[in-house]
Amino acid sequence: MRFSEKLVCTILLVVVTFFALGGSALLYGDFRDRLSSMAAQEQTRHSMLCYTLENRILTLHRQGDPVTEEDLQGYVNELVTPDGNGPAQLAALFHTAGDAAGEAVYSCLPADWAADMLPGNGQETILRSGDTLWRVYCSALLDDWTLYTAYDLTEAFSARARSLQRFLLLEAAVVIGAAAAAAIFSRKLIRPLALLNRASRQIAAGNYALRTDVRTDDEIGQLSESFDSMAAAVQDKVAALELSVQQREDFMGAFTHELKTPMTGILGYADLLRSMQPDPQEQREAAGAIYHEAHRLENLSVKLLQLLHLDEEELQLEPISLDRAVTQAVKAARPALDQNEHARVEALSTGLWVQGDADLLCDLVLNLITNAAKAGPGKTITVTAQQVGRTVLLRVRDQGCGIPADQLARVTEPFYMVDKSRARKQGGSGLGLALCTRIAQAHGGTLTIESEPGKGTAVTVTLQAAPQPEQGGAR
Amino acid sequence: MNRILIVEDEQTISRLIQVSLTRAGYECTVANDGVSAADLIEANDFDLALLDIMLPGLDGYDLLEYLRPMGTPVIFITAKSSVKDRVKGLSLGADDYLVKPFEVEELIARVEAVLRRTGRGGQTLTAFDVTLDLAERRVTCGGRDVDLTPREFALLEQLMRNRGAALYRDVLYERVWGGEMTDTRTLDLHIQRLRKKLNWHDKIETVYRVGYRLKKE
Repeated sequence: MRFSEKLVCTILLVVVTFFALGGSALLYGDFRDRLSSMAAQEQTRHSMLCYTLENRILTLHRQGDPVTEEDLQGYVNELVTPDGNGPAQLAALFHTAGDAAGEAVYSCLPADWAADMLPGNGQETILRSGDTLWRVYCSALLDDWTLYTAYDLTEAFSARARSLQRFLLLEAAVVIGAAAAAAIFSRKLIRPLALLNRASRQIAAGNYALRTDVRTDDEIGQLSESFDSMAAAVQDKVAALELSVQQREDFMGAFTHELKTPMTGILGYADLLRSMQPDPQEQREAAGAIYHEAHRLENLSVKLLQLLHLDEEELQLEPISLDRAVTQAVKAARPALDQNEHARVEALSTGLWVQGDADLLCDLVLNLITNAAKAGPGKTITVTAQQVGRTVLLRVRDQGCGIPADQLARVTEPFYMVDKSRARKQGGSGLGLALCTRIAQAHGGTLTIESEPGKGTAVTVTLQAAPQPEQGGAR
Repeated sequence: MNRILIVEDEQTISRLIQVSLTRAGYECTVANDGVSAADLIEANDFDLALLDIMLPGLDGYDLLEYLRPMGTPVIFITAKSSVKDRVKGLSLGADDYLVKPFEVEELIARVEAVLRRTGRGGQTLTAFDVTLDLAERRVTCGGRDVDLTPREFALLEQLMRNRGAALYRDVLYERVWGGEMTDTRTLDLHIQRLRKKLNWHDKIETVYRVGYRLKKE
């Protein structure tokens, strides 16, 4: 059973019940009022009859005439005869002599009423005869006369029956009206629920961008709001998941490319060399290609291992002399500097100490200097450092070709190369800046790149400053 | 001579393909990025294009769009080896898909297969008066048919494909018979029979301590 149907049924049940209860109470009260107003009328007529009879008896007494049954009989008969004024009236006159039971002097009461069914003096009762109900009154008169009168109540009961009929018709109309109204209202109330239901189904089916958007200020609105925030959370999670999958796929794609390209070259040239004796120039070319490609693979594997290593282990940081790390890096960078038309490095002694890992820090500076040398062969590279509060800013600046602004954000992605063919010629793996960024992060710092194409690039790494240790302390 | 366009941004590889295909008797043009490749495609009519997918400028898929209206067959050469990438490449209309790292032998075989399938040659190899029909596996010498055993046929194919280069005996053996060379006599015997059947006594040269070489014209 649908919720709207349940709602309609419930509303109808309540309406019918209370309408029936209220209507019944109304009808009953009405009926009672009618009965009692009739009773007042009847009592008046009964009393008038009693009064008239007693008057007659007293008159007879005063004249000294005997009170005869015939006389009173005729009298009653005359009085009781319908005069078209008010409901039908019956009467009976009894005369009680001594202790004996009364004897009917006159009676037009129905014959099926036994004497013991009749009320006592001053009382009243309702008796049935055939289809008609009568209210019977009794009064004791002078000289052991007893008068019974009975009044027809049919009118009251038939009025009640008519009212009941009207009421039932009304009730039917009310039920139909209420059903229609309830159906319309319940549909209106249920509409947000149906919307919510449809939207949630679609969200569950994978349309995470959808929102239920039911704007009501009741519980359904709140439910919709909670549901929407849940959908938003799911969407974020799914997006994050997809992004991480995408990143991994990108990484794997770039990695296989970087791996397979040198391998293809090595395999191809090696196959050439082993299958035939080419002319010396070709032979040299093949050997050279194999050497360079193998070198590239080696470079790649070293950097990749460093990256993986950084991801796996927590670093143990200790105070490191920045000057020493830079000097070491410049020494290691010598071949790269010489290859690039003897680029020069200017590194000023700063006397600063930082929290770091000596080898990684040296690698970081080495990578940055090598990059700088490749960017600007024969130019000067400056390495500076300054302390700002508790951080040390290490900056490597070159006067090289620079990085286009639209690619600045991507250069730290693994395997991203601005100029692939130049990077290849210079033996780049595309991992250098990615590695530097990871090293900076492992030191709790950041790596930022500012560059102006044609003028040069400045890479700034933030590191944590360390107090200069006592003599004989850490390196 | 079939003209082949090689689009590959890795110079080592483009050079390797160029050297190998030139030796196999094709005329090669190399483009190192997508834009210059597109220019070359517009100015020339190639019989086949070998495309890398990840290229600076236009990528391989874009270049395929250029090539398709011209009916030039395309072989993708790429490091992307997932089924999804292959299906994408092939469904876009590439004729074949070669995954790095590849063997030069395989590359040449596929180039020939595609050329053959698209009716652009690749069926025959010619040296002096001998024609080798790869599709029908028939050899004619001066217009008359020559009966060759399958091994002799394969051996001749190897020599003709690598004209002017001295081929090592063990590699020749490996490529024709498969597996390690156990005795040298088998190869020498087949070479002698080839020389006799084709009357190529001076054309197939013995190179001391290396192997054999088919003279260049």
